[in-house]
Amino acid sequence: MNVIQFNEKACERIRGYFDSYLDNELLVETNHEVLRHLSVCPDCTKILEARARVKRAIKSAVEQEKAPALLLESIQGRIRARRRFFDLDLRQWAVAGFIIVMLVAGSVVVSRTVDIFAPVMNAGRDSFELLSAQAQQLMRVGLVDHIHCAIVAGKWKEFLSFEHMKEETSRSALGTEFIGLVPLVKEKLGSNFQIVQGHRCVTNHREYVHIILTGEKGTILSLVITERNGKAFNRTDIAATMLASGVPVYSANEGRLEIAGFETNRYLAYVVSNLDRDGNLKAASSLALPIYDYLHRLEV
Amino acid sequence: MILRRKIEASEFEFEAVAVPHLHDLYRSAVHLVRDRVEAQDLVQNVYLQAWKAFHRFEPGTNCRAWLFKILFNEIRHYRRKWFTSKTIHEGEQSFAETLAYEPPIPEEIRDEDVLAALDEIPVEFREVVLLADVHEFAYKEIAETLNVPVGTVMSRLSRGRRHLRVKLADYAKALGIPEVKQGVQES
Repeated sequence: MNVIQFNEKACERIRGYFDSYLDNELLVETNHEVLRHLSVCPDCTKILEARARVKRAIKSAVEQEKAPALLLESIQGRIRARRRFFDLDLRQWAVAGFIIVMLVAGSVVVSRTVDIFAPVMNAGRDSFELLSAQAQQLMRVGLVDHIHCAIVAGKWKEFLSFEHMKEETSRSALGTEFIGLVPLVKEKLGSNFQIVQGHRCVTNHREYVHIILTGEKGTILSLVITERNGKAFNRTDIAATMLASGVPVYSANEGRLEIAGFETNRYLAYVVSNLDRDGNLKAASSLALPIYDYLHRLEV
Repeated sequence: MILRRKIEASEFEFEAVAVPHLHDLYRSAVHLVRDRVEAQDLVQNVYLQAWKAFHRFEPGTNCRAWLFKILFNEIRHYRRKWFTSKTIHEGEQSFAETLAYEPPIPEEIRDEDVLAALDEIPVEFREVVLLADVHEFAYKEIAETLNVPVGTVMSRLSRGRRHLRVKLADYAKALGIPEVKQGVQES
């Protein structure tokens, strides 16, 4: 009788740790104590398994729900509306400041003031804020698809086999035109990255060919290709960072994301990742020439 | 012009670090207010608040935890506005909680049952269950998000999960799903 009472008490005490055990919040010693008890107590093991099952079921059921696409658009719209409002204030301040400077310091000072408002040319510097609005917009063309498709829509987690991509016939299929990019990218980056999937997608009304790769330490890398539609790197004030076998590669960074871009007659291509600058440029430079050749063949 | 570019650059950075948590925030909001339209409004407000305060956000720190803290502040504000919500007193125990038996959980748990059970448990328990089980925050982070001691997080989580188990066992029984025998100490 005494032995049974002791066991019941032991079980009760151990079950009291189960929540923290499941959440990995126990001290090492207590964790061992729980494990020792489980190894000799099938009843407690069953109870723990059931509780773990419920925990998994809650996560999986709740994660079925996704935020509607319109919510993201609405948030972005409101943030931009705030910025436009701020811009207006800024202009008013600029006008007021300009008049004061005119009154106080005369025309010499005024001419220097105008210099402040001259476009900031990017002289090989790598921060987005130093690029002109036109260059920013151009680098953003590649960035938005990486953020919205690979990261926000979670495509980086959805592995598709090459056979699947080849046989796919829906609107998101790479198709005979672009399926050849997959083995090409694999050949160039396959030793350090795994190809998760390739597809066609539309972000911000622009069509993209998008290949997503993952690498060590949580690296997510996108190769993003889109038609130029009149846009060109060589007509902006963004300086090429490097030449990859004769192909000029342009680069910028935004937060923790690095963007490298290059162009052909018809397409803009981007490599976007959370690698450091050198890592991203290395990936882009190994892809630049073969991708350029591939796209060039499509054009002719 | 330079300032404008700075604003645009931080707008990109904000999108890169904050937007990936949109689904997580929305999911929690849906279960905390149990209304998808209200949840969208709340999450939109969270992002606007976060954007306004983004200059105070330190790069490299936990953006998700920061956004959830803003979400729970918004939710508290929302509840104060619309409800005189019935708070659970920590000492108060329901009949189900005092039972010394372990409710039998079916092998297969259906999503709709879990979601229904989750939405039925008191909101103080629901919020810790969401933060721990769905978003896998550490107890310390949950305590900071909800502004309560870690001990309170632990007791609410334990009681919330027990509520859920009791409800899931009730559903299974009502549907005639066979029970898995467990938790009965044989003497």
